[in-house]
Amino acid sequence: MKIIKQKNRKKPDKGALQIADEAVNMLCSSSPHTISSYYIGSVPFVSGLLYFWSDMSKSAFAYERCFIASFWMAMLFLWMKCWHSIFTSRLKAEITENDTPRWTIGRISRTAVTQTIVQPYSLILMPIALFLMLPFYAVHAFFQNITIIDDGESWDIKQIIHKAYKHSLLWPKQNHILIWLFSPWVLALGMTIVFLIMRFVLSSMPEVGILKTFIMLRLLQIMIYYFLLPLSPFGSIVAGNIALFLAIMPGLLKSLFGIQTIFTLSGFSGIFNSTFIMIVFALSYLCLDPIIKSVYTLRCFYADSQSTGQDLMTELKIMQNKRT
Amino acid sequence: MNNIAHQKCFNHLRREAVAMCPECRKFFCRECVTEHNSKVICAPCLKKINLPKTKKRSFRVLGLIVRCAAGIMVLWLAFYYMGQILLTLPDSFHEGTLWKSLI
Repeated sequence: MKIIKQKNRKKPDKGALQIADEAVNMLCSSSPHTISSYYIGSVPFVSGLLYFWSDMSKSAFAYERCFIASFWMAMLFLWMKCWHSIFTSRLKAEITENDTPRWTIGRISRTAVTQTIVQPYSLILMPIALFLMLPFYAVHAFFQNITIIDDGESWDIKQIIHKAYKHSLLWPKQNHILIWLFSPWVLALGMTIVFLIMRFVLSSMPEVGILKTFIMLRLLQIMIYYFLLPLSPFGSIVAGNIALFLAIMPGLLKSLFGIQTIFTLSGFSGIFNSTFIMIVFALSYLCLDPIIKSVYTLRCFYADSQSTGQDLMTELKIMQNKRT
Repeated sequence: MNNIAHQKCFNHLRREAVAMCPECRKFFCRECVTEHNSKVICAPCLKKINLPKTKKRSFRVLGLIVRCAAGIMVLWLAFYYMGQILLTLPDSFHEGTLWKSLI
């Protein structure tokens, strides 16, 4: 009996695609108040990161500014993580049909402390886990779960970490599929590899004019179709659309309105510089990350429901609301 | 002899005892006991119960501050080294000047 129970526990009630579908629907139907809480946190960090990236790669005063700029980046990262917690707690309230929790000073400070203690290590552990591949699903889920489980109600960080760890090991197959579909980290890995391979091939090729251009474009096509698209299907489509929009926009401005910009003057180097790639990734991150947050909010909700029966209570509540 | 009616206060020998402390099992007068968690308890025992808690709490707060500081330091260093890596990369990497040979 115990073995049967354990087996059932390991099997998720819903498949990965079902969870993904539910998460996207939930995000589409969530209030502007909820969505805005995500972007209040993320937009300053992403803007700061782009400024930091271009400043460190181009500015003559970068050496002097690096120390202070990195401190402000750390602060913006914590700001973003706190708002992500607020965002996921509002999503949780929407799932359970409860009132959105009030964010008092005590609650905010509890969330800020938990996020400050745990989340910084994600910047070190996630790239290592991504490099090692196998533990990535658990590490990725763990840091997402920390954001979701920490709703500022308790000072007990040990319990939050324990719960996040327990949930991160649940339903690995479902977790792998969801990461493959939506994770910005996998997209970042793919984009970095494509960018580095392209640069390496280009620098090692002899100068052969038009043939070189043809080979490069063909190689880029092959890399996108046979490497980036299978590695991160949804992410690469989003990134591709954003890259196309950003690449075509200056040309359209020039041909339709006669507006000459620095991008039309710089040709290929305006597209294949590291800042352009970073902008494409940052905008893709802003599109993908809310989805992955709502996916993990649902996973945590279903994981909790196994012991609390919260999903049944919510269904009953919805039925009651429909009747009245 | 354990009957409270025959007992005197442990601190004030002339006063009659009204309660027995459940912690130290000594008898006390009305002035020497207080209520704590629905229990009538003497002042030294109450002090003993509360002392480790305040110590624990101060250690906990200190621990939280240290861990927060460590987290901020880790983040700061992560971004600092990211900046340093960007600084060491050659200009052609950032500017995409390599691609000019294609046109």
